[in-house]
Amino acid sequence: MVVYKLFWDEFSSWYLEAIKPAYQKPIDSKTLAATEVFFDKLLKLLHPFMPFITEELWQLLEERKDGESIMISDMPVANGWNKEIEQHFEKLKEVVTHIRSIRKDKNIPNKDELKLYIRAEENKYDKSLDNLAVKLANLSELILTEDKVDDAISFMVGTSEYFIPLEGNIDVEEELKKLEEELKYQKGFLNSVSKKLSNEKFVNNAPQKVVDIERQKQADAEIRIKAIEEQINLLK
Amino acid sequence: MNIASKYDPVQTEDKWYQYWMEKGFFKAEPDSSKEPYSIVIPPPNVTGVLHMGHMLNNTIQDVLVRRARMKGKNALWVPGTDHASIATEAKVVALLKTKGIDKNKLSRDEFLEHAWEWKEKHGGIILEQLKKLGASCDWDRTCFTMDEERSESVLDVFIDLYNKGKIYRGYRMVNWDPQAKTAVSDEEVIHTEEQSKLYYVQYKIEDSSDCITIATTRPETILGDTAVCVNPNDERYQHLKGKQVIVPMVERPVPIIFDEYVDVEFGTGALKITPAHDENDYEIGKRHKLQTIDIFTDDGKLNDKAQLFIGEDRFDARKMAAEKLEQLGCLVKVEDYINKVGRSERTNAVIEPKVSIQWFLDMKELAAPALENVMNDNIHFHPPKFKNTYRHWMENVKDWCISRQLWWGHRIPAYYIKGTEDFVVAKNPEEALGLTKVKQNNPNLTMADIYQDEDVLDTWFSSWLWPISVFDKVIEPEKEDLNYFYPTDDLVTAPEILFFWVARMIMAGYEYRGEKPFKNVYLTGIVRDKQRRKMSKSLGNSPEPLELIKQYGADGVRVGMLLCSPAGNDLLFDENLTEQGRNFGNKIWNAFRLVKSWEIDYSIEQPEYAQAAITWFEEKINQSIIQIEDHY
Repeated sequence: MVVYKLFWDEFSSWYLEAIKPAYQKPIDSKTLAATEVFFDKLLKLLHPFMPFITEELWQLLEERKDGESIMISDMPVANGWNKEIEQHFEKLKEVVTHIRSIRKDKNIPNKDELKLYIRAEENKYDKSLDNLAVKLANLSELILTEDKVDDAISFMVGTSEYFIPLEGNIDVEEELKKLEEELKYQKGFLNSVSKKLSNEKFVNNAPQKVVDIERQKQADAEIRIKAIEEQINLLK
Repeated sequence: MNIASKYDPVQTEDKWYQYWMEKGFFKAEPDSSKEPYSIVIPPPNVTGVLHMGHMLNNTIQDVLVRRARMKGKNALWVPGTDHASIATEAKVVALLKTKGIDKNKLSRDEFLEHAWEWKEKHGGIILEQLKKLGASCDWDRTCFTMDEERSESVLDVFIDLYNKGKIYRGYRMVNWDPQAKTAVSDEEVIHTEEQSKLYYVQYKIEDSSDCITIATTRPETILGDTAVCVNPNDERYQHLKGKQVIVPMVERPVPIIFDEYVDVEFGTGALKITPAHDENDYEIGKRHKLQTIDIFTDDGKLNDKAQLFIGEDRFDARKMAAEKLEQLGCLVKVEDYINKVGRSERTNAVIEPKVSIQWFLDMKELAAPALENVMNDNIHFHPPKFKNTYRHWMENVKDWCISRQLWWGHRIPAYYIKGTEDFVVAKNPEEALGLTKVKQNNPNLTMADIYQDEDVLDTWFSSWLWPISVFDKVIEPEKEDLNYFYPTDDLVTAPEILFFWVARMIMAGYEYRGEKPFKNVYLTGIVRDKQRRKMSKSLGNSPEPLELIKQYGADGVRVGMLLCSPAGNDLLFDENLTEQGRNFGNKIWNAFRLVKSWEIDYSIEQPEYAQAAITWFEEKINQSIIQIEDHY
């Protein structure tokens, strides 16, 4: 259901997050009006699937006269869409998602602002969504750079490289200690799984499903260990 | 604005459904300035209740019709119910039984009175249930396959097809209970192994001193033999091609025929063929165009066609035949033998396969345009893989047996002239009498001289007209509705009734409108539980639809049905999906509350980021609208 995804993922998770005023702050009239227009369209697109709730909300969206109903309103139409704008935003979503997961991994609170470096040439870079990136990822600034950034976590979106410097954001000592502990645990786990899998009796007699699960555990642990080791190297 | 913190489906749903009804939003009348869009409901059994299959099917139809309406089309969804001849009659018979009433002791009229009472009491419950789902049907147009208008069309079409020579009377084998003197269904016959005897009997080859020996458990039926059959690959009998044999006792010459049905290993490899009294023989008889001699009366005694032992019971006649054959020197030997015997569940009488006269519809000509217009996608099947099954069936179509020995249904409009085999087909007794007078060239005949056929028509013989008959009379239509709304746009139904119903509607469409009955056929999967088991009451895995609606709201259930994951021809339903549907509703509700909670400050400028987000979401909506458009 296209419209299910449109409402839940695109409108609720991205659009409303993007335009939402700060907590208990007012909103400007233009943005609210545009949002209500979107809501109207979304309710209409949803109406055939969910006739009741859409009627209820459409009637609440603005004052309606007796005899008006969403079920006899006009379905929104489109003659095409701007692919460039759409794709540009998709890229922004990826960047924000990366930054959010870095925050989660590194325990960086959402309220702490981060700096984001983008390795790109000044004249080829489209700045139009920078303000949105700042808002959605809570950035202090967005800096274009031509070189790699040291002491930073990097990620790629499309062909662009992004860096978040670690300075001040995390306690290196503390992080290293945590990583070493995790590494030790994962190695121990891998050891026990590998032992099991080297036991011929187990491999030959256990149901194929069970053996497969163990093999998967082994592979997952190996990937995790590699990732942790890379992070430790980066921090050192 | 004060918006409730939680969405309350129960109150909201009733309120808006009533509002839509009051304002007449579901109604549609022909309007040449607007493009029509129509769907006819697959009519559920009139005394049925909603099950999950209906939920899926009707949700899809409502989505389609609501969408069409919002796209500015003059959208119409016609509701109705089916009289479901066999199912309803069985229900009524069972109900009467619990009241200590035996159907066989009632007259036709008395029984029908009970049936109508049952229909009035339970009919239409299912339509009320559909309202709870939000179905936007034009209820003023509700039809019933046995209401006056629909019944008139059924009779008109029967008469028309009869006059065109497409409907004819013919013989068919049924399970006959000679004690109850009624045909019984296959389900009412119990087969058990019983001790009997196998008789080896010699038949003389005509114009020769040779004989051929056959084996039979029923020597009395020799009197009805019309052939002897051997396997074409059996080397022992190659020399008998084109020869005739003489049936013992009655000295009737009959042909020797060759058919692969015969088991070379059984008995002597030669079978006597009695088309009137054995189902397999009947089939062979049809293939080889053999004569059928019915030697039994309705109560299992030999009739004059048998020539011998007339009036004797079939079991006494068996002994007499064996003795007679022995006297004639035709009986080679008798062996003990265990075979399967079918007995009537009701009377325990041995079932007599009996050829009875039934009404048939010749399908060949009707099938041709129906096949062609599906294969060339003039009518679109979704998914298209069903075209193959459809083609296979249509290329091998058999004549349709349209008569049923039941009372609940459209009584066959054939009137017999007492004391003759002759009949006329007419819309009512008065017309029938008129026709009879002409046919018999006897103006003095009265109503007392004719009587109507006792049988009713197969239920599908009325529902195959549905896309036409819901709008107007099928023969000589008068209303603008039919021209305007026909052909209908979409049909949403289950693959199990592709042949029973869909194919036949297409035939009727081309026969009576010269045009397809619908443009698209959506064949939905069968709703099963998440373990792919069939939903049934005894497994307890079939949720009660109205309970689901109560718990998750109609919108939640609708979304849940549409989220079912397809698996081959099945759809796997899990209550979690309706929960997901309800949660989606809550998500929409909460998003709305959030937007409505913001205070406007007219003094602030629109931030750049908001402008960028709006620009993006405009494109995103457009992209989605185009994607949705492509999905339909």
